Amino acid sequence: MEPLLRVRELRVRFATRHGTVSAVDGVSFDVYPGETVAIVGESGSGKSVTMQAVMGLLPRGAQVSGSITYRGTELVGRPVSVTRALCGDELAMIFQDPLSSLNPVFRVGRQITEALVRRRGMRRAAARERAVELMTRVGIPAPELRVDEYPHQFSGGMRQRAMIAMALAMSPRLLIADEPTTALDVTVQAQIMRLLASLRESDGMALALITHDLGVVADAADRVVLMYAGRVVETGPTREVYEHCRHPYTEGLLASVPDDADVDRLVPISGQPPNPASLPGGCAFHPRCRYAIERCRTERPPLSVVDGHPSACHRSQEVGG
Amino acid sequence: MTATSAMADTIETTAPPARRRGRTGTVRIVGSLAVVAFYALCAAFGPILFRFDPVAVDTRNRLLAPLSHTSEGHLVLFGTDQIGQDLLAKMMQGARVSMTIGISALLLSGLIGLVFGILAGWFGGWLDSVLMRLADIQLAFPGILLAILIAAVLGPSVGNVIVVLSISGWVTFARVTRGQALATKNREYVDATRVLGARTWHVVRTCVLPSCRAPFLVIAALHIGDVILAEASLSFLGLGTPATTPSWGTTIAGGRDLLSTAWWISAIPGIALAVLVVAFGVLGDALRDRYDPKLAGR
Amino acid sequence: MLGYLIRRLAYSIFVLWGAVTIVFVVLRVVPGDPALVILGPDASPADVARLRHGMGLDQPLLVQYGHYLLDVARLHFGDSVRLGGDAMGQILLRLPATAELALAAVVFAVTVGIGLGVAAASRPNSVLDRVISVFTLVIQSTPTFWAGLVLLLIFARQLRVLPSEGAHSWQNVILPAITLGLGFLAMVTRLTRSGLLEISHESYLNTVRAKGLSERVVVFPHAIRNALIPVVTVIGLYLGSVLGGTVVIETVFAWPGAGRLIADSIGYRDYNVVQAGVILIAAVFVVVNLLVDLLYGLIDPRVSVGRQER
Repeated sequence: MEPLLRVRELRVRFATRHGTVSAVDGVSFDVYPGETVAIVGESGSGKSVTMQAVMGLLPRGAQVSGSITYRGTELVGRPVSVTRALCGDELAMIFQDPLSSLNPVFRVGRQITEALVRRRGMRRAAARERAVELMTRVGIPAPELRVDEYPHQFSGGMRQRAMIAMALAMSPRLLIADEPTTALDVTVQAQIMRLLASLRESDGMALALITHDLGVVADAADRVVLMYAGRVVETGPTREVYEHCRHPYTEGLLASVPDDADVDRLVPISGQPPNPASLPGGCAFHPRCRYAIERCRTERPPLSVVDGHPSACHRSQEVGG
Repeated sequence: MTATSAMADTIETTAPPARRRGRTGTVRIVGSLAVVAFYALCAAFGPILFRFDPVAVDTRNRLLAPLSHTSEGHLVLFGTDQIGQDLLAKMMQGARVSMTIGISALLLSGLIGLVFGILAGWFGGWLDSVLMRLADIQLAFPGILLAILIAAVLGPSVGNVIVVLSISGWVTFARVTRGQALATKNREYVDATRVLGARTWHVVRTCVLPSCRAPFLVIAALHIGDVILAEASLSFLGLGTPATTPSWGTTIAGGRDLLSTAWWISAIPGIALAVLVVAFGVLGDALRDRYDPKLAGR
Repeated sequence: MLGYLIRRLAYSIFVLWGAVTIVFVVLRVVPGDPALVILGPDASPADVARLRHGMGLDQPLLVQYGHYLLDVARLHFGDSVRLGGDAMGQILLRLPATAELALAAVVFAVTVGIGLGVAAASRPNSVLDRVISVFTLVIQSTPTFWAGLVLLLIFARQLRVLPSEGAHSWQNVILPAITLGLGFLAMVTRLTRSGLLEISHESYLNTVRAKGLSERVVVFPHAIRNALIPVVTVIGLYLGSVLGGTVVIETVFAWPGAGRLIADSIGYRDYNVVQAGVILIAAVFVVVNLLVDLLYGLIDPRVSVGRQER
């Protein structure tokens, strides 16, 4: 089967006053039709930048190299209009903070169906009906009334549902969700994740889930891509990575996930995520790694397959199970 | 926080060098001050070097174009006007008049604003209400219209123009002073000084006045340009300075009917005026960026 | 909502009363003897005495003030000394021309200003941005009447493409409207630029992009609707300058409006007309600001009309 989205050796760099900063450094992964891929990492790991590169949303001045192909169409090095043409019908995206992601001065219903009106020439009345339909699907109560309300009249969870309705409007094949639940409170988080899972099943769309929370990933994702300091450190089927993680960072993340069975295991990763402007040499994780040896300080480990799935660690044999 | 916001932090630093902290806009401040200083020198010494006699009429040398020579062979850099007066000498005199009016009106409105602002902010109560409503009313009254009205009643003279223009300018100063007075009053350390028995005036002098300095500088630089422009407008309408003490506005207005034959009489003083006001505008913007980034964009 | 409306209306009336009172103070109290001001220094004592009696100046100031307020409330501003007939009538006769000029100036300033602001904000710190910012600075630093004279010189006297004076055809309004709108244009340009830059990182703009909509849709309407919210308030406040500017600009271009009548009437000591004109302009200004305040809620849905506590 052909992947929907194929990312190869993606590099994204930003020019700053202190020189060029590399935010994404040689990232590769695929998303196949209908599957859920979780891209996991701390802030600064480059996970959001990667997906912004896919959607053509990077700020002006970002330098992108490598390859991003969507169903065989190369997007890197092409005008942003090529990507824009795919956005909506093929690719859709929802963002972390649903309040700032909705335009405060337009009615929610109008924003949900704006693309249908502007790109498919749908009439206003039909669009309003469609908006109500979509809002019903994502579980917004009293959609007939709320369709004419403004974003500030919605609660956080309802806003994110409205964002999802907006993303569904054009029936995309791939939905990119950038930390869709981070800004919401815990009970609402679970509802939104359930909604995304059920929509994925009913519509057969693929989901690329960006998150810093491995706990969210366990139930939702088919595969995970773990990122640290702009690079992929481990990737594989979710179950396999959970049960036989081969990278100390993954191990650390897993240990920091609250687990009903074993609360004593809850251990946060020590230290801070590195500053993208001054990454440590060798393996970027070594200052925080309890497995680190001299070699880790000088030589960057490549991504290589050990025990069934790829990881980037000199001592992957010793890690985990 | 996601990777993007972390990136945003680093991207912030790509802002243009002019916005670097500490030395914000030094070039702009020094440059505009140099222009202002040049004008001040012209205003101070120009009239001494180029004697200007408001009643002298020299019919043989009327309406000479810029860079031509008078019948006596003198070069007239900016030409002459309809009664044969050297435009350069007239403009030096005009610089003196316009800048005197500008600075005096500025000082006077600053003083009124300071007093009213301290009264309103420090003592509060009904005095505050009355003064601030007065400010509201005045802002609801187009400034130039008020100036025209008062000038029409008082008649044209340098003193009257100063009074008129300072009346229209006090509100901004008063609002800033009031804000600073209120802020100071609410801060803990002032309570401490009060408890120690310090008199109100002492607190105002040591706490309120110093905190007004930076905002006053900014407002003054931005406001003085408006004052000079307003003076020119009044003079144009015949409500400003009399012909015996010609300001730039008077000179520009005087050349109005000769536009097609002697453009320089109106054009050159206008350019001179605009350059000075631009300098004040640049100075004000630069000071604002340096002292009060929150005011930026207003 | 209704409560706010009433409070806002009461406030407008209060401000208008204040403006009317300022006019009273300026015209009747400041000069000492208004009759002498009206008749000029060469008037005979008998004439002055007659006028003093006719104007009620021989009565106590407070009584005068009371009569004055009553007159204003009944829109009695006396007759024009120069033109004859009701002073307010004379002003109202010329108000449409002033309204036409002011409207043309505002339309010019807002459309061109938004255009320039968008152009400047689309590439911050580019050459175009810098050129526009220098342009606005120069405009704001130039006396409007002088700019008017220069435009006259260039387009009417030298190029002869536009008429210079009067109001004979639609082309007559072009130069005075541009001149009157220049300052406002600079203001709108600056505010549009800074407003757009302020929201340029907002994530709802990325939402629009993610929907596959073009950069043009991102700016119009998504970014511009948000960026213009502060501009609307300024339009209301700046209208005072535009209205006051008509006095000067109409004189430059011999535009037959209320502003020029006011300027002329000052020269002829026709104070009834001046008073009527100034009060009318203040009233227009207050009403427009009231409307802007009420319309604000339509532009920014987050602001319910009960926002008087700022």
